[in-house]
Amino acid sequence: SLVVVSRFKTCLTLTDTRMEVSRRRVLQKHLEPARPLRRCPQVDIGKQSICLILTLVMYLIYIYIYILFVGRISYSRDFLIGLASCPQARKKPEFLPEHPIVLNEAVSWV
Amino acid sequence: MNNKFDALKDDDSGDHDQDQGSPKDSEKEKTEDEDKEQNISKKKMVVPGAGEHPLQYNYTFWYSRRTPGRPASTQSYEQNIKQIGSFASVEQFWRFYSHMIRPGDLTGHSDFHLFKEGIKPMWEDDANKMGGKWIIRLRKGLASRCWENLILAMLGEQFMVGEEICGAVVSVRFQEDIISIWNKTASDQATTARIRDTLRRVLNLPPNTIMEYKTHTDSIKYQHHNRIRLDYFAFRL
Repeated sequence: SLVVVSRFKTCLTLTDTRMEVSRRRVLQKHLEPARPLRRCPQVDIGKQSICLILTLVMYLIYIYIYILFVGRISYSRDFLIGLASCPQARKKPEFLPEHPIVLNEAVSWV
Repeated sequence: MNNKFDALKDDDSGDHDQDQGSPKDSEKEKTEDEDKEQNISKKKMVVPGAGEHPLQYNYTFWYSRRTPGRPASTQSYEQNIKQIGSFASVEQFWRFYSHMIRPGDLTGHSDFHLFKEGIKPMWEDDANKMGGKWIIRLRKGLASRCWENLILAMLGEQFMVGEEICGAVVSVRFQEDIISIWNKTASDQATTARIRDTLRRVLNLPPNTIMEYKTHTDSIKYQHHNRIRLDYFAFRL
């Protein structure tokens, strides 16, 4: 019976020891710097690539919508009129034919 | 005769008197020379200058005037129309525009045309032959302002009908002035409706304004009809 008890104790102690060991392992895991460092970059690359693909898809959709609906050089009336008075717009064009409808000096119409 | 012709002419909207008759030999030579000049000027590609605001398309200003005292039947429309110049940017447009008299100051039977570069303001041009035009008749005194609003909307791509717009015309006549905008496909009702609605908006037209759409094939038919009538009256005289 003693033997049995001692074995039992041994078992208990063994179990205790295992539990302690396991606790220690858990703690050690958290303290280990190497594993998280190895794992994190792998996860980050995955996220980055997904983000990259999503951005690319969004950009392509944007370009598609832009070409479909907006892809033209458009100006409002007010913007065009705003440019009428700039010095570049006041020069007489080269090779303007001699004609009764052609004026020598620029005239502000707007 | 001229007065009778004037009285007989039904279509006076925009392009006008595009006669198909063959000009005389001297006139033919002149036309060929002008064609050559126009081809040379076409080859000179107009581009926006540094720092200028580019336009979606290059455009060309044209001017035409029916010579007084000459019967229209012997005139070639193409011979009468004069190319003023082409531009590719907003600044270049203003250079031309500020050096030209306004439509309201034109006298006689005159037209200003502003068309995309490469499209002649003629029904027979490839870009126009399947097309048509919206016509608005204006009382005297409104042409300059309306013409300006129309061409600014066209240059600024306000019509939102893709490649459909060909050009715009202002026609100064005796009792009224006419502005019109030409598009490529007369059968495309969605496009013509959108052009009409944009015209109403940019010209700030009252709701009761009469707007007429005319296909170029109809214009050609009417012209042919008018010429037959003219020949008939000429025979009787």
